[in-house]
Amino acid sequence: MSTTDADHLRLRAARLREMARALESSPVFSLDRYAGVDTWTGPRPDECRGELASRQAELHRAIEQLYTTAWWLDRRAEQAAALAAVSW
Amino acid sequence: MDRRLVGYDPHRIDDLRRRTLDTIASLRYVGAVDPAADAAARAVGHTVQTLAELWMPLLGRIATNTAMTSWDLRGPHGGRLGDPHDRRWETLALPDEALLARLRRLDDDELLGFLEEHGERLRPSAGVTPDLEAPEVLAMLAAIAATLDARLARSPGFAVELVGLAPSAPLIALAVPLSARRRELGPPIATAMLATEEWRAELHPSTYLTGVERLLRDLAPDPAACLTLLRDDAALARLAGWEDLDTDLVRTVVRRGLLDAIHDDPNLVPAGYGVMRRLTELANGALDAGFAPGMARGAGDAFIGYVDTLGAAISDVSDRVVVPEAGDGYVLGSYGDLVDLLGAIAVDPIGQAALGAAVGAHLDATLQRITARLDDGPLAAAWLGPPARTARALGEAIVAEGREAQAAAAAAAARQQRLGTVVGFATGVVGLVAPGPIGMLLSIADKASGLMSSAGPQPVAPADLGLPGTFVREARFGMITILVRHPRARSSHHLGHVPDGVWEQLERRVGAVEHLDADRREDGIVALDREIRETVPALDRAVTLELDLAGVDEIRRDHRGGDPEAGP
Repeated sequence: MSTTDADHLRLRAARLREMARALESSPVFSLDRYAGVDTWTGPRPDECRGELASRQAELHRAIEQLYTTAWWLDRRAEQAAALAAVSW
Repeated sequence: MDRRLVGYDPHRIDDLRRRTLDTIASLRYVGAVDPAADAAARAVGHTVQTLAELWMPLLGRIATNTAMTSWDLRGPHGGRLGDPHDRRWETLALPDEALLARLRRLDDDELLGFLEEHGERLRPSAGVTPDLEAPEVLAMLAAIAATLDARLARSPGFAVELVGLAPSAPLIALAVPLSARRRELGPPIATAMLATEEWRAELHPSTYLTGVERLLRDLAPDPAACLTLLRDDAALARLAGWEDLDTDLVRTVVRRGLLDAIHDDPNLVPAGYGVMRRLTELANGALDAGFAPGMARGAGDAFIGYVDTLGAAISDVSDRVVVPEAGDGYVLGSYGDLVDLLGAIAVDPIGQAALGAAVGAHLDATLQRITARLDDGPLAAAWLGPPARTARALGEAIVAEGREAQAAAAAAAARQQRLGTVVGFATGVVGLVAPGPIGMLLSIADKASGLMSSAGPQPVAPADLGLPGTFVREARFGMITILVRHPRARSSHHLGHVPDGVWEQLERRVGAVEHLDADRREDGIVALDREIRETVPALDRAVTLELDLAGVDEIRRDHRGGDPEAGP
């Protein structure tokens, strides 16, 4: 592997972290504060709140996965850089 | 399927809708061109889909909704709002879409046939109590309402046909509160539902009650519609005698119809008196045992709008009560009939307190008017006569009903709060009546009622409270105050022989009584009145003459049969 590979991996990791941070700051995670029972109530709003909670959980898992993948890409970048140095 | 009921706060819904749109927009810019971001991109896509396809249609539907169920005035925690007019939380029944599609395919005759046929399970013979709050029932009614709205939009004449057919198809009445045309259809159907005897047989009792209450809640915000309903004799009689109806709701409808409507449009004053006359007939006939609480409280609240002209209309206790301001002269009935009307209201403690507050304010308004005009000339005879006569009628009604003296407490509170200006004195019955002071006045009535209630559940014997002398004593004290403090007022009463020192002493005594608290005020007035009778009899005679109150000595005995000279 080359340093070019390592740079590419670091770039991918950075992009994934950027996406994770963008998701973390998304207003979707504060939407439930404005959609409580003091705003609307009934089976349909309950359904909406339930669906939102599911989507928020899915997004949290995705964010965690993005950070994990980014960390893994960084490790691979370090490995690539190390291998490149040995090969050189 | 949208067989659901939604309760919501319109302002918060607007805010949520805006935030949801912002969220969707912001998520569309989140992404990464990387296979490792595919799962996250799918999660984002699912979220956008949820918000765009589930949230936004419902939020949009609610935001543009014009057909609130409006009878189900429950907050998010199930609390019922006291005043239907003051609702922040609204509800929306979403129609059963399948039923809606089916009804749309029917022509008018088929639609009416469907409504008659499907109303069967609401009849008593069905054997079960229908649950009108059940989501599937609400969804069915919402579908019917949406169908009726569509027909009415195409054919305006369908409204007349619909109202005419409503008695044979009760589902129409139950669906109307969900209709966008409920303001137009609700009042005539509510009137028919209350006035038509067949309705009670057509529907299960609980369904009939719920149906009427839903229509009344929808009608309550419109004072003119409330008055129109009250002008129907049969509907008025049902409202006045039906104790199962929501008391606060009936009170609101009656107050809006009898007070707010004539405030908004003084041309409706004769109509208001027409209702008062019908209530007088009921109080002297079918409802001589008293009105149901809702009617008693509503009529008591509205009395402030009539107390001025009613007082002037009582010329003598043996005469008919004729109200000249109402058209060519409205005959309410005899003095005794009027006492029975007040008695039918006074059977309810809160109604009684409201009457007392109105009389107290009326008395105070009269005293203020006399005082303000003293510089224009000597006292005109009988200025205090009208409020004193009204007070006498109320006092007699309370004694006859054997109730607690909440009216007296409210009258004293109104006098001490100086709310007399809320009475439309001299310039027309409603000209000066403003919503703010009226609210204050009614709160005094409620406060007086609450104070008396907190004193204990056991009723107090009228004789112990000295009724109806309480009201008349206040009137006498007012007149004493004027004659003591204003030499010009004394000029036409042959009081010149009374030494200045006596007037100075009396002025100090009057001032002392004015500073007494409510508990000691009446004793102070009684003592002062007795002292004047014994030491300055000419002043005592002048007060009696100015009050122009027939039988005042009898009233001074407080109906106890005692010697007037011995004092209460």
